[in-house]
Amino acid sequence: MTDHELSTMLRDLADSPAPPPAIDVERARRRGGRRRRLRSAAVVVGCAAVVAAGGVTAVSVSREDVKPALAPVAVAPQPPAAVPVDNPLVAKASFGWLPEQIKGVEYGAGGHGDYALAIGRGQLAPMIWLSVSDREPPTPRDLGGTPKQIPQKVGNRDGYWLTTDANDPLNHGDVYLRWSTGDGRWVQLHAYYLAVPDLQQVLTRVAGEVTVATKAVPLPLHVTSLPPSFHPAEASLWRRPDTDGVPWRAVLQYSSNGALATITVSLPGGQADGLGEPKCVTKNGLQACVAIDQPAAAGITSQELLSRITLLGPDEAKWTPHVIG
Amino acid sequence: MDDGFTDFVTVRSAWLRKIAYLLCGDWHRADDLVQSAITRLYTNWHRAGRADNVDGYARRTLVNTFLAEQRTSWWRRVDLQGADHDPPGPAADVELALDLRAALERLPARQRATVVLRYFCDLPVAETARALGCSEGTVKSQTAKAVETLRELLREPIRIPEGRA
Repeated sequence: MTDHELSTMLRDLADSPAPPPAIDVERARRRGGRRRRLRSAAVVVGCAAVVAAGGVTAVSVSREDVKPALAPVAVAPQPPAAVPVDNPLVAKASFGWLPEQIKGVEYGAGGHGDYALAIGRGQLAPMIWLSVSDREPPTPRDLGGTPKQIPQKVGNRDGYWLTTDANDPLNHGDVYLRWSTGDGRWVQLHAYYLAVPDLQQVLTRVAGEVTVATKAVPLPLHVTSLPPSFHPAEASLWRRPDTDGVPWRAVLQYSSNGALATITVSLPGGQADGLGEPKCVTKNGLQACVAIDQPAAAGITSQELLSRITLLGPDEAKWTPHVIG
Repeated sequence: MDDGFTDFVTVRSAWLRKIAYLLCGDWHRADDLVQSAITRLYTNWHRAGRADNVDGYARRTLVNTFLAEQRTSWWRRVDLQGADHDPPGPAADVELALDLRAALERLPARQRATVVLRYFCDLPVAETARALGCSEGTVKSQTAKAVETLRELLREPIRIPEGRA
C-alpha cells in the first residue's frame, strides 16, 4: 500500500455513510458570542459597562434573536448574586410510550440545548430528540432543499411533518414532527436510525403521549453549600453504555468567575468529564469526580467540592430531584 | 464582526465534519467536535475571518479541539493507555481484517491527527507542524510511527516515499 493508497483509503472512510449532521451554526454563534461577552466583561468592570460596551456586545445580542432549530439555550448570563437552583437539570417535556428499540431516556440542559432524548443501543443507536420552544422553531439549517409541511394532528393539536420530499412525510428517515401546545409553545420530535415497520404511526403515538410540563430530573447526588459564585452552565444525564462503558453518567457543570467546575457521577469506572485534573471518590456504590480548571478563580478546590457531595446509590428509585441545597 | 462566519460554516462544515470523523471515528462525536470548533471559531472570528487561510485556521482549531478533549474529557478513555505515548504493539491476536477506522483508533491522538493532516488534508510537514504546534522533526517521527503501526495493524506493507516521513 502506497501513501497515495492510504490517502485514498482515508477519503473513502470520510465518504462513508454518515448520519444527518447535527451541527448548529446559530448555537455556535450564541455560545461564541457569550464567550466574547465574558471576555469583554473581564476587561470592562461591571455589568453596566458591559451593556454599554458598544459594537461587539450589540452585535452579539442581536444575533441571539435568531431562534435555533432545537430548544433555546437555557443558560443566560446571570447576575453575580443569582441564587443557586435546586436542580440544574429540568426537563420541559417528558416521554410517555416509547417503542421497544428505545432503551433509555437522557436529559440535557444548558449550552447544548434543553432536551430529552430517547435512545437505543449500538453504533447507530436510534434516537428521538424531544424539545420545546417558546415559538414555532425555524427550519433546521441542515434540512436542505425546500422543506414542506405535511399536516398531522397530535391528539387534538395541530402539527406537521417537516420534510424535503412532499411524498415522504418521514423525510427519508430523518424525521421531524412538530405540533403546537396551544399556548404559543411548540414541541418537536426529531428522530433518526429508528427502524420500525410503521414509523409514522409509531412517532405519532410517541408524540401523543408526550407530556409538556417542567420536571426536575432525579439525580444520584446531593450537594450542600455550593459556593454562591457558582452558576449552572450545563447539566446532563447520559445513557451511553456502548461508548461510556457504564450504563449512565450524570454531569453537572458550573461556571464561577471564569472557572469551570464539573461534577461527574457514575458507577465505578466511569470517566470524569470536564477540564482540569479530576479528583474522585467512590461511596455507596457510586463514583463521584470533580474537575475544576481554575481552582483559584472558582474559590474552592476539587477535593473541597467533592467533600460536599452525597452519593445516593445506584438504585434510581432513591435518586432525588432536589440536588442542590 | 462576524461577516462571513455563517457562510463559511455552511460551506465548509461538511469538510470539517469529515476531518473530525477521521480524528475520532464516530459521527456523533465528530458533530460535537465540529460544534465546539466552530464555537471557538466564532469567538475568534474577528481574527480568523481576516486570516489568509481561513480553512487552515478552522482546521487547526478543530484539531486542537480534538486534542484538548482527548486530554480532558471522558472520551480520552479510547486511548488512555497510549495518549501522547507510544502505543503498545499490536497484540498477537489482532484480527487480520482490522479496518482502517479500527486501526486509526489504535493510534495515539497526536499520531492520528498527524496521519489525518498529512494523508487526508495533504499538508506538508511544515504546515502540519504549525497546525499541531510541534517541530517538523516531531511530525516526521510521528508520521513514521503512525504509518508503521497502521502497517502492522492492517497487516500489509505501506510504502512511504522519503518525502512523507
